[in-house]
Amino acid sequence: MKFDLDVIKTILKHREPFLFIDSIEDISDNAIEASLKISENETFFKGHFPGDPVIPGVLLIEAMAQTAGFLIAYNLTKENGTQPGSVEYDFFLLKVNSVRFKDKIIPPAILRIKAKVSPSLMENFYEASGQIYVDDEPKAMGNLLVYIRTKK
Amino acid sequence: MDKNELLNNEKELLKWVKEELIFKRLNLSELELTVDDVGDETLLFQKEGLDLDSVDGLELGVGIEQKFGLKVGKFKEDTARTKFASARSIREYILELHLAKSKENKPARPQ
Repeated sequence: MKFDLDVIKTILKHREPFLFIDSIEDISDNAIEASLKISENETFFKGHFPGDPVIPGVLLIEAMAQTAGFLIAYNLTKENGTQPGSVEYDFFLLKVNSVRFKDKIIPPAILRIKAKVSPSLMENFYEASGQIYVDDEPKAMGNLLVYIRTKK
Repeated sequence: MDKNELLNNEKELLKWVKEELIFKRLNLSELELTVDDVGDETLLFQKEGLDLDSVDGLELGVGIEQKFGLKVGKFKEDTARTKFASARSIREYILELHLAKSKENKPARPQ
């Protein structure tokens, strides 16, 4: 199943300039693939680095977290039988484990962000593993612990 | 010490909980604590104790499952704070889980 930016915005509360997925290419119960277009005109390239644009690694972590977050919140929406957008969720990134950046990503680029998610032992805590590919080349990978709950 | 030895030796089990599960697994040396800061009754999640958080609580649950092959099962944040209140209560909890598991595995008595 595919989703566009409008649907993403009903599930995630992240917004530009800090929304780092712009379409969902595939989604199943425990896996998801999102995509993000990065142009040379992104604001952060003004400083990272002048005349030598490289996507900051920290934003790649954020993109993996948002991709995993979408899947978890989407599943919660489905489980609760609610309409996308009718429930707001809180998203917390709690832990980042063994993240690797294999190669720098230079714009323009289309990122494919994959994530697998499993519930942890504790309620509302989820473990996610993510990978980012550009042209089928792995560029970044890591494991995250996230906390997602219905906004009170 | 292997898991069966620990489960049959309350003193060693308590030592394991303090030194391996709490101190090492939670990387407390990074918080400039020493293993002596983890006492039998030190309150793990209270400000006046070690002031651990829910991520630590989760880590304790995962550590118990991994070491003993016991099923902690899905729990809430509040459960972690009570069941894992101190090293001593963690030990009691492990023994409780172990007892429940051994009962479950006992073959039914022939009629």
